Amino acid sequence: MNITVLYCDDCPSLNPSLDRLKKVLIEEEIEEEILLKKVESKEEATKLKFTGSPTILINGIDIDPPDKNSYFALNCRAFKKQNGKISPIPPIDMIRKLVIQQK
Amino acid sequence: MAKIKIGDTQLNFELPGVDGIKHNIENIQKIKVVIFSCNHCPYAQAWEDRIVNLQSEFSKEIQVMMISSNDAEQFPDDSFKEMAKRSKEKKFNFPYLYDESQEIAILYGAERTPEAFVFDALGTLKYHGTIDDNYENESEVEKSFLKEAIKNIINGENPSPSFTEPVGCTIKWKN
Repeated sequence: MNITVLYCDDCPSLNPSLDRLKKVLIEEEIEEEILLKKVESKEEATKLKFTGSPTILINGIDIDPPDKNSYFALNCRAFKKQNGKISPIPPIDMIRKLVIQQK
Repeated sequence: MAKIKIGDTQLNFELPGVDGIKHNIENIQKIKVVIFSCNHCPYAQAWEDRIVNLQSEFSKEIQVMMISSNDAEQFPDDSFKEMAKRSKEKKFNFPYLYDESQEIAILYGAERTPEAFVFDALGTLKYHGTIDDNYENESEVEKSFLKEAIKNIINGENPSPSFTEPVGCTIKWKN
């Protein structure tokens, strides 16, 4: 399993998101390492199809696939919770769902 | 880093609002709650309903002035047009102002969205910082820093804490 986290410099959501990701990996007994990649320019964002920080990819698949109106930029991700509210960090269930699917 | 510290006099500004009016902080006699925010930041989005509720709850005593200073060229969700849409959708009960040149954000030394500066009626900075301690879940908030600061100021007391570290995305500066 390839686990990659794309992020922007100074993203306040990175560490809390990593904590959640690590928690899920431990609980699902996944030992693969997390690859962290900093996205530093709009050009790089476009190349990586990066719509915001943090972006968690499991085997190249985004845990929260962005909608077609999203644009590539050094943005901040807004994750939609089940209750419809917005969170800057991904819900644990969202991470777990894709990890289990890709196991 | 903020260019204004607790006890300093308010930094004045006049900015265009999405309501078509230019808003001048000097015209406000109440407690002024200046909040640097924006459309796209998920932290700003997470807290905006609570800010609306604060304005509603303390409508006689405070005036919230929300300012977006983000570069709309790089972040089109933060354009003036989108600001107007957001204000209407979320029923903002306060002016949502556009700091297009980013001059006011620089003047204040604001760095994050949201980041609050609260001045008493005489224009003295009494509180600077974040909204509360739980952006993700309002029902799990233990410390409503901004609300408690407002209540303190209304009662003629100094907020404690008077400073909390602002939590949110960085203001998106022009190149």
